[in-house]
Amino acid sequence: MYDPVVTLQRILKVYFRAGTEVSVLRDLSFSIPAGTFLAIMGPSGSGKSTLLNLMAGIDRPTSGVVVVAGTRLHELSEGDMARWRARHIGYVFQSYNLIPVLTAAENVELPLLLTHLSRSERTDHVKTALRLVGLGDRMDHYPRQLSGGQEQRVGLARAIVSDPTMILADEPTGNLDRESAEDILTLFGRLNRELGKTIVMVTHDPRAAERAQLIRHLEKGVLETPP
Amino acid sequence: MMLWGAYSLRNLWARRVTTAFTVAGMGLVVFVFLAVLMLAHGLERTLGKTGDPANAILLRKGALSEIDSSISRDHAKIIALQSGIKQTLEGRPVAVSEIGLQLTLRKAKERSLASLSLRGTSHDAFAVRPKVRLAQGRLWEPGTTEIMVGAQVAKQFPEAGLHHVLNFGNRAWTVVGVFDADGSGFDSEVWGDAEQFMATFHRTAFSSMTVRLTRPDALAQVKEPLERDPRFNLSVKREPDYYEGKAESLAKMIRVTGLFLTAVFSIGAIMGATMTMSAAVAQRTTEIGTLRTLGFTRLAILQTFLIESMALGASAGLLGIAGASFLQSVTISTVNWDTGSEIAFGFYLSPVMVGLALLFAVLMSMVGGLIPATRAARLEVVQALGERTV
Repeated sequence: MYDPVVTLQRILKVYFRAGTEVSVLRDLSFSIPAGTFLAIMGPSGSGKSTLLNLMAGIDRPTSGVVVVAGTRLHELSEGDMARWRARHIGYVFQSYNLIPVLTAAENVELPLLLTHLSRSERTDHVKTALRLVGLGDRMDHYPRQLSGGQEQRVGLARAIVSDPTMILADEPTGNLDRESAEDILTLFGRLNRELGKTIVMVTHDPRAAERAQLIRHLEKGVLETPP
Repeated sequence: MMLWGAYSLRNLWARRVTTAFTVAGMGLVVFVFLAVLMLAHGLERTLGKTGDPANAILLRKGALSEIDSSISRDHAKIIALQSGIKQTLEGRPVAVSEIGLQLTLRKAKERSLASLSLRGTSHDAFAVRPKVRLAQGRLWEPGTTEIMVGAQVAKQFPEAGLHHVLNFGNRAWTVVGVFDADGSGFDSEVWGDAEQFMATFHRTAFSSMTVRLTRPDALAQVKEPLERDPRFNLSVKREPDYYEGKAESLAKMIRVTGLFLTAVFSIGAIMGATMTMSAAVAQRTTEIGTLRTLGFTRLAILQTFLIESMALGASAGLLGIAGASFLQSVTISTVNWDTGSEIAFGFYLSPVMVGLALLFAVLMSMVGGLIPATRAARLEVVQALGERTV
């Protein structure tokens, strides 16, 4: 157990667009205790996704220190960073990002291909994860045969199947109807409460954010100080 | 990894129209590549089969073929007594003195004139060459103007069919039989009585002698004393070595021309594979970003797209091989540059060629897939996901 699971120190992230420097995150420092369900809110362009990508190890800060699950990410090579992601991060995308040519079970199995599990062990893990999200009977369905809500549940099963340290979700309910969104948020709540998973969710939706234990607002690259 | 293989194959199937066109294009190149190899090998094999390893052929030293060689009648009688040459139960040497000439006939298909090998020989030729057997009609009667033709001559020259009469050397020659030489070069020859041919064409000497050795390893026993004897001025070769050499120029021309064409076509096929795989990468950029987010390394992405490209190549290879295998029933008849005579030969497919064709197809697809696969592997995760970056 890592506590805090995320520590960000003096993070600066600058993008160059058409020759212009755009500061997305400015001198951002904060930490996330293990077992927290955190919602990060903010308007478009506030830097929410960039912040999530830094914590996921799929982007690097211009300066500052990112420590996640006890690892100083900026010190890792590309390959080590990929292996670290496989071990510690479960990522849920807004558009589900399932591989269309693979079945639900095969999509969920993908992260396990990076482990040393045997084929039968992988199958057991996949079944468990899909049952947990209520899709035990949809294992052989292709993404096109599933509803949006079901696709996102497969995405969630894929995020948890390798038992990562932390689940990161980028607008996980952004493309869903109210009912499906509720299902997903309920699952996040259960994963946090029953399995103690640390969850960081970026969202626009105040109703989704309310389901988190903690809400932080990001405005123009600066994290609002909680009252 | 089974899942990884399924991922690549299903992606190819998902874009099946593009995949089919690419496979067809590459398959065509493999077909040409294989056809060239099969043709050159078919020619060599036909001429290689013409000889029997248990036979030796004797020519005048320095002669390139039977046409420009000569062995006098007296010498032929002495040579036949050389030890190392097999004898019949009656004590007669198993040897045949022959005269090599050329005959011009009209071909069935193109109606063009073609030059055929005319072999003046004796019935001993069948003892020296046991693989040559009577297929139709009968043997020629010695001392007459009867002749026999090889199976390919009968097939390709309508005027040389059984019971037809050919006019050459101001005499009429009746075809009384057709012989089958087991697909060898003799099938493209016309045989008749050596004495009759020599009289007709005013020859006093034979062109060559072919002798059957007591054992296949008895060549040196015949070769060394005969080549050393200054009376004869002879060159002695194992029969298959002599006939294989007769295919060198034509086989080389087929290979050089064919492989040049294959090389040119393969550039097109490689570009086709590159375009197909580039489209695959462009369509699946988000997928690449997703896989990278899940923890797959750049190398894994490179491998995935290379495997996909190689699967394209392997399919093309199988298609080309399937197409080329039908060529085995086709026979080509053309002039052999080394002899100036018509030779009929087929396309011959060997397991080594199948392996080579598959390797060639996979190599083409690997080269074609390398640039798109590298581009896929080099994509930055955030860029590949193509989502909001702020």
